[in-house]
Amino acid sequence: MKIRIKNIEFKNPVFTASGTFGYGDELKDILPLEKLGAIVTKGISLKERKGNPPPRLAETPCGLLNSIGLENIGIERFVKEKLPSLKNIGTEIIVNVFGEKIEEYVEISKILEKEGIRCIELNLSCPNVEKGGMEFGRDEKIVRKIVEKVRENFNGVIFVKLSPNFVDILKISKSAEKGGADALTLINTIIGTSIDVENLCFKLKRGFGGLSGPAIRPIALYIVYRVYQEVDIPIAGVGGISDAKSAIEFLLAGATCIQIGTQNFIDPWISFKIIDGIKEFLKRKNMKLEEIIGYLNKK
Amino acid sequence: MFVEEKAEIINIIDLDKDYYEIILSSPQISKLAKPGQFVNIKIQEGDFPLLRRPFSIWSAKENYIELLIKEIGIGTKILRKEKKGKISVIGPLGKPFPSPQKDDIIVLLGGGTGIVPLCFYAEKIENKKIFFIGFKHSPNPYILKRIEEISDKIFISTEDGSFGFKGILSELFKEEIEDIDSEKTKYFLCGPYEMLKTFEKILPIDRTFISLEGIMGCGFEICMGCAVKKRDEDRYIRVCKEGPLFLLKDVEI
Repeated sequence: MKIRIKNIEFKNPVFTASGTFGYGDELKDILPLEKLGAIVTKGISLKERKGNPPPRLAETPCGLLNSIGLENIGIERFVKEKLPSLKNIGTEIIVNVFGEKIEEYVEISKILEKEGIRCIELNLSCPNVEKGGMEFGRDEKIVRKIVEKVRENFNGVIFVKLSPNFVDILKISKSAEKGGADALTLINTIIGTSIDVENLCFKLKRGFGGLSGPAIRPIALYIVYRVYQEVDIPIAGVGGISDAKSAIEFLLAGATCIQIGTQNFIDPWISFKIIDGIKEFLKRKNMKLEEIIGYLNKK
Repeated sequence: MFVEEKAEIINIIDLDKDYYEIILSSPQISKLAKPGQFVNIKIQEGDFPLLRRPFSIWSAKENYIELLIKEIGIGTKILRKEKKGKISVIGPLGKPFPSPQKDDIIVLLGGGTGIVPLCFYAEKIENKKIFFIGFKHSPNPYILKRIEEISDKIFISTEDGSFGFKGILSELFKEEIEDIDSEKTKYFLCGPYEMLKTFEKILPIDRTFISLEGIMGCGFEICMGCAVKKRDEDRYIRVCKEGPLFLLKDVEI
């Protein structure tokens, strides 16, 4: 079940997705976190961010809109308060990095490199902030520039997390690859809204947010399938995976690994069930993991 | 520490148009549960409704937990019609209510399902307990009887005047506050938003605890959804982690 991306070997292809698993160690007394392929942390910014005012969540049919706004303690406190515990978990930690300016991505990456972090995920796709995130991810040139600048300063594995909001995701994916990304994370949430008719207002305080959950699975799956044909770097598939079967869909479409997001909220044990489910599937089909990755896809 | 349990539905009792009670066989959670905590229930298998639904624990003894639920949306509607069988329950979640000092007088102010965590608390503490409860219409006699059994004194208001004082709970409370309030009086408040806002103006914020609801993704600290603003500080804390009970002087409502 092992996978390799660049020079890093992961125990298995099942990761937790950024923003859906806290800083990563909250559930360490309850879950055998060392069994995960990797943990992707909450988005970490240079300075502490308080996040958006509530309500921050609204449920939609088979989906969840969120407008958390990247609440986080900032890189300095993250390194001091969270990293020691995360390093002790015994699985790969991928730090999700967010910046309002290009230099902030670089700055954080430098700090993480110094702290011995081997994998980062550049968040170029969050829809819930006024500056940075999705705004950067919409511009091919900026995407390439951010990845290039981070690449100059970070030797480990760089995942770039992209989103399909208002962009040609094929072009953006290729820009990230050209900039030096080692892998792509597809996809971040899809921008959306929901309205409280009775009270004549938006359900989210900020008006709109990012949609996740099974509702977006077919969109995410198609994007993974399509981008796989255009790039030569591995893809981490994410978007509405809720069981082993939907995880395997992403692998068959071309994802090298998958990330579990919203389903963690409903079933925090889900990643372990998916690891077992993929193992059981491979055994039943008498196939190896590398055989099912991209099985339904042609380059 | 929380667990997931496949809890057996022992009974679903219709109390009136709005309210119903669910009794679940939940040997692990019932032993761990403390007053003020909640459980998060997967309404049915599959992707709809997607999220679990959080419910305060009404009572927990032996191997059972009891929940008093108001039908307010699709989740609580489906749950009410659930056939006997097993449902997934995660809990207990959130911080328990604090143990009172021996001579504290405990005043419990509950509106609608806001009475639920207050009842569990009152059941477990030995102090003098005064209940103020407010409903839109006359509450079910079964609910009333339960509260009478665990309180030393009970005041009731209904908005339509069909039972007790006619009007909102804070109006009834204002008439009694002088006789009740002392430095030893601790207030525990839980109910709809408008009620909390009204009581905020009346109660001493350093002796009032408020049990809050939040729109939750998980209930166990990982989604950062159920944010509540700290009073006099520019940051948010979480209903599921730091709460659901807060000292009123610490949070903005």
